[in-house]
Amino acid sequence: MKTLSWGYPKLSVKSMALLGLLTALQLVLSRFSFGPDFLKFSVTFIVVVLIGKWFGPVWGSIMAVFTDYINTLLSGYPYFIGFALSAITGVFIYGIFFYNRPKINLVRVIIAVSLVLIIVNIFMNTTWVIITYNYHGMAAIKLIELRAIKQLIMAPLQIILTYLILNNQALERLRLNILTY
Amino acid sequence: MMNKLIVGRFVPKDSFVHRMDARAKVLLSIAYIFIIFEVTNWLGYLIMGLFTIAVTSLTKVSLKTYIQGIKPLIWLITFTVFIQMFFAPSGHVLWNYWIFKVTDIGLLNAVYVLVRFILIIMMSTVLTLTTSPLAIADALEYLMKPLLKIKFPVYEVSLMLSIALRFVPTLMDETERIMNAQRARGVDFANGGIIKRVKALVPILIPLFTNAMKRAIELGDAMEARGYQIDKPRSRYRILVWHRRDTMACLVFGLLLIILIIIKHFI
Repeated sequence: MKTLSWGYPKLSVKSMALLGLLTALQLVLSRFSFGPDFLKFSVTFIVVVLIGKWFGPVWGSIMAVFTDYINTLLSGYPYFIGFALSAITGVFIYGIFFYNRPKINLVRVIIAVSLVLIIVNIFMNTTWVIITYNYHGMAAIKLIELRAIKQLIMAPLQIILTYLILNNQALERLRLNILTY
Repeated sequence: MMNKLIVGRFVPKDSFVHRMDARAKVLLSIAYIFIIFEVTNWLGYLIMGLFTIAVTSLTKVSLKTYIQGIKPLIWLITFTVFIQMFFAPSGHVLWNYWIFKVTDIGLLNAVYVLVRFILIIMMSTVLTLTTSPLAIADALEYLMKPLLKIKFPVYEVSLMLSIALRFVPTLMDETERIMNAQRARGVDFANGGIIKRVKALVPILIPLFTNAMKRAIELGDAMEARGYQIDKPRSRYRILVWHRRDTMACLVFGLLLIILIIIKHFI
């Protein structure tokens, strides 16, 4: 079954260079936020989606651990290992849904993005925030509510952007150039 | 658009902490986060606070630089502290309005969270201010070496991390350039509805990705032309050396942990 065909593939020199550059892009894009003040959002998920699609869940997860660590160090945020687990889970889900698929339909994008938003952003990340900052009772419930509302608003935007980028032919042609060597 | 966080905040100086091995600094900065979770009372936070200030003074970097590191995170800290303060589960109520309730326990928790947040940020700032990103990548490679036994691709991962760190400034400039080019063509990132703003992102992202991929092709060609081969033994330009001061620093951390455990359980 194609969905489960994720192993531990050997990378060519060009693929390694590409994965390194995508990691750099992830670090760069995390410094930019878009949207109105009440709903700032980052586009780093696009890079995660592409890593999942081109490199699969295994390589994606390995790099996610290190990208999360370096990104936390460079940004000055306190490091917490839980967010590394979130990063792994996110790229793993995208990898399972998108890896090695030349054409990706909207239903697949909707399911993958929704799973990431629910499992990673609402469930896992909120848990880590609650643990890190020692929230209790009502404070924790309010935080879950606020984060869930934000994800609900973000879902259509993420789905549209993911679908557009995943099916972009210019990117796909360049990627074939890299992987055929 | 772009926030004020600095990428690669390394400040070259000749201090005790600068001279420490990058491996020790990476290990100890991670250990610090686990240690701070052992702290549950004011005495513990006082000791951690004094310890952190002592370490920052050993770096010979001005306190102003550390405060600048905290500044971009001020909204996150404020939000965290306010939620902690207004939604406390128990304690003696000091102030009450609608769904907001400030209790003595809530107030104390808010102060603890604020102090913990600032201390962790200061200690991770010690690592980034005193260690170059490439030294951190080297340290991670050394620390990953035991994983070679389970055939983990240590050298490949390390190479990709070095490539990533090397290209962060280049891609940062490129992103700014592409955004300015699109602005010159009339794309408006700052106004309009959310959908309009999302659509405006596509003309930035596609050139950014295609340029990154073209760079990957060129870089791959350059590496192959210079004889780079995967799975071959490699020599190193930068060699990390573990000194007595690194062992000493580890011992001090061990001592700190013992003191905090005693305070937690016996005081």
